[in-house]
Amino acid sequence: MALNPSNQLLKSFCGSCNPFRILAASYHPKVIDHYENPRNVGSLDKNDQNVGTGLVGAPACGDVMKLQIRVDDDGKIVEAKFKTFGCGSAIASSSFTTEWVKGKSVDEALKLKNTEIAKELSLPPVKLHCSMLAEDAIRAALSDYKIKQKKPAEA
Amino acid sequence: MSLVKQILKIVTTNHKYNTYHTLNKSHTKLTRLSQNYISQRFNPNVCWKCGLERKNLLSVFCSECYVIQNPQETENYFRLLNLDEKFDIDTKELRNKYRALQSHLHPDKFTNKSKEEQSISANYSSLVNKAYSNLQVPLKRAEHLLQLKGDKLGEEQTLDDPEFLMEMMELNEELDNISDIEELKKFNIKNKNQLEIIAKSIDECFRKNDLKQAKAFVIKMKYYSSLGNRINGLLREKGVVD
Repeated sequence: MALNPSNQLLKSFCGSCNPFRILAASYHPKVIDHYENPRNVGSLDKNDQNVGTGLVGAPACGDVMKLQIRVDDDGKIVEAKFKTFGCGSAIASSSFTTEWVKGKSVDEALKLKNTEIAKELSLPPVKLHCSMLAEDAIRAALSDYKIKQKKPAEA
Repeated sequence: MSLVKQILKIVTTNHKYNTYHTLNKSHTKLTRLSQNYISQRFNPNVCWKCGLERKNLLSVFCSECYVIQNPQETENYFRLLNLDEKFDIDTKELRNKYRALQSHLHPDKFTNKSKEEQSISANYSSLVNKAYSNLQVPLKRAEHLLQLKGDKLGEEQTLDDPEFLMEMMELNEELDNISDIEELKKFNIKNKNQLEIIAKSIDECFRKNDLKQAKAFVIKMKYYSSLGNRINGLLREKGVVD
């Protein structure tokens, strides 16, 4: 009988009864979700005229992030893929970004701010640079696409 | 009865006086101690305990009263461990110096000493641990050296080298496609060789005091180290321990 309360207490600390208790201490469930089930992982043909590629890196953590978009003739992003080698927050940020830009126009996609990514994923201050990396990546991809579109007209 | 009461009264007042007296005494002792603490903070050349000037500042102990002293250096890990401030250090020497220091100031040696000495030992010892773990790893050592020279890799640091990023992307993708253990080991050796080449370049840059170039190489080392961590993770998953 006397053991019961402490048993309850132990249970509440036990990781196996509540697996997210320990994980949640470091990462928000949304980050873990994107990390474990990343959306849109992969590559698009970077030589394709309608594909824009953004490749960026965060030297402070040794992360590298590739983000690609495919734009249809109406200027709408129909496909987005990413490949990120880095921490969970960087992977989650790029995964979220590919989901966010899909179906948006090129100009709309330019409006994505890193604060929005950080807010959506509840990133802590020390991980804000991961969301900035994702913003840089989408901007780089969009400008790559725009440069590609201009070239044939000039030629 | 009245006599007994009288005696009791004297004893209790005496006792009261005594405790008051000793309290007062310990109080002055305490203020003197804290003054010494403060004085050492402003003048680290003076022993916090006996107040005498310290002859050998590199020594952990006061040469007069043999009491443990606060570290002279807290920022520069090279100086803390009494090593030359360079990238290409002798790891054996580092290990020996670290062990020699810890043999004097480990908290286990201070279990019978005063609270002040215990707390100095605990802080000093953990600082030495931190310094050792930072100097032991080439990447951390390079970053520390860079910081000492007034530069560092901040979060805002950007990398405008698409070719290098592409190379790292491709190496990471190549690693993803390796399933054979022998091939993984080969990849690991290749990566380690690359890290050694970079380490040599970093050393050269620091010798020439070319911080800009040194930083560029430190960034490269960071990427190859991350790749190395991934390789080691995969090797461990497959049950290979080196």
